[in-house]
Amino acid sequence: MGQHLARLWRYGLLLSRQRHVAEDLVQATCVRALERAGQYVPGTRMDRWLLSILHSIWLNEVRARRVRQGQGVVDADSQLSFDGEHAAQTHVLAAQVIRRVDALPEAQRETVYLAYVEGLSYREVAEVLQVPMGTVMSRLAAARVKLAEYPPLHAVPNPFTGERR
Amino acid sequence: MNDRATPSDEQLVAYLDDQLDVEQRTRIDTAIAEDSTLNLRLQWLARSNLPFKQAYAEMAQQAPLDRLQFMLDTLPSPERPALNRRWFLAAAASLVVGGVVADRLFLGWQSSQQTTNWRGLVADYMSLYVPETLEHLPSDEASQRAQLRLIDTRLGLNLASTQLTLPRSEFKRAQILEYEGVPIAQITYLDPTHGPMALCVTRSNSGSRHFAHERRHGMNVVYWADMEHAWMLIGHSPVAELEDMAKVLRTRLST
Repeated sequence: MGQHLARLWRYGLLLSRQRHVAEDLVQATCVRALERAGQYVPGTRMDRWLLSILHSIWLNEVRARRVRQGQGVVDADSQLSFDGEHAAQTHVLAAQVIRRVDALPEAQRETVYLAYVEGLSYREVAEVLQVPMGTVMSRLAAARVKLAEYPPLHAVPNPFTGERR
Repeated sequence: MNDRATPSDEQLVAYLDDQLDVEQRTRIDTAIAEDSTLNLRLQWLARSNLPFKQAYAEMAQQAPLDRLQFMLDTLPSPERPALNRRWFLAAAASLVVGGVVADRLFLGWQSSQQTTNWRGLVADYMSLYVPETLEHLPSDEASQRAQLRLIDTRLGLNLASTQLTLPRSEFKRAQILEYEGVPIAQITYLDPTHGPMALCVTRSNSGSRHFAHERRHGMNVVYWADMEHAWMLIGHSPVAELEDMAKVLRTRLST
């Protein structure tokens, strides 16, 4: 499980937009994974299994609780993720990509993340998110329409070769 | 399904993502060849191809791996289901608290930097604690020492666990709650009769202040300040008891 911690944290941050909550999400995910170790099918991808646990904790417990309390979800504008010193640590091009993804509505954001960052197939994304494949497809299409509207990434010396993936 | 229908954005995106079977793919290839506007639409959608993986690889490097690994290493062993269950409930409780309070604290700090406000934020947090939130926590000396070092670094303190021991309440955990760069240390105790209690501290330069009390969310709060920090002790204990403990702590902490 240790090797997946950074990726789980990153997913938690993508969902909650708050570092503190991201850490709590990773902890709760590890706790539940240990508790349900018997449900893990050996030979399958443990990272997928952990991502799906984190997703369900976020959706059913943390986020649900916040919405019920009338606090909703943090706006992209007020997020803590990439302000101050952290922005300086993140390469300017990476920051542009992350900002654009972060501006998407939550459902599209995490679908884009699982498909294009984690590299899951549509079917795997559907399994992690517990939604039909058609929903995955419509979220990705809607997200891509929005992302296509941005100007090209600023052409500072580009360390990334090629485009997506 | 009508094979002759114009492919939707969903299908074009699946085409770009290479998620179609051979037959579907061929159909779209044909449609694009016949319809130049469709080809333009595909090119437009392809503008959303971004270096997602590389961007988020940089983000993963910012993960607080030491803390996460420490957390994982100190989780109870899965061979003890009864304990495990309890740990899980407690963790779930603290998780919800974290989520709720992260927002409240953040918004609070944003709207006001008044020194009185931080106590309200801490009280919001504490009102959600139950004994089970703390019961499971490991209370070995090494992890507590590590927790205190973290607080020392962030708040310019020099805390020793011997300064923080109280006669009845057990020291459970010390952690930093941080929002918008404003750290608050929270040192939690479990009182056998009155449940969770916390000593909290944040930086403050509004000058030294003698003990004062207030009530928040049905809990008693005793607070004071020295030249560089504001302190508070919060819990369900009677105010006189709480103030006695605060006096003990203040004396030890000022030496």
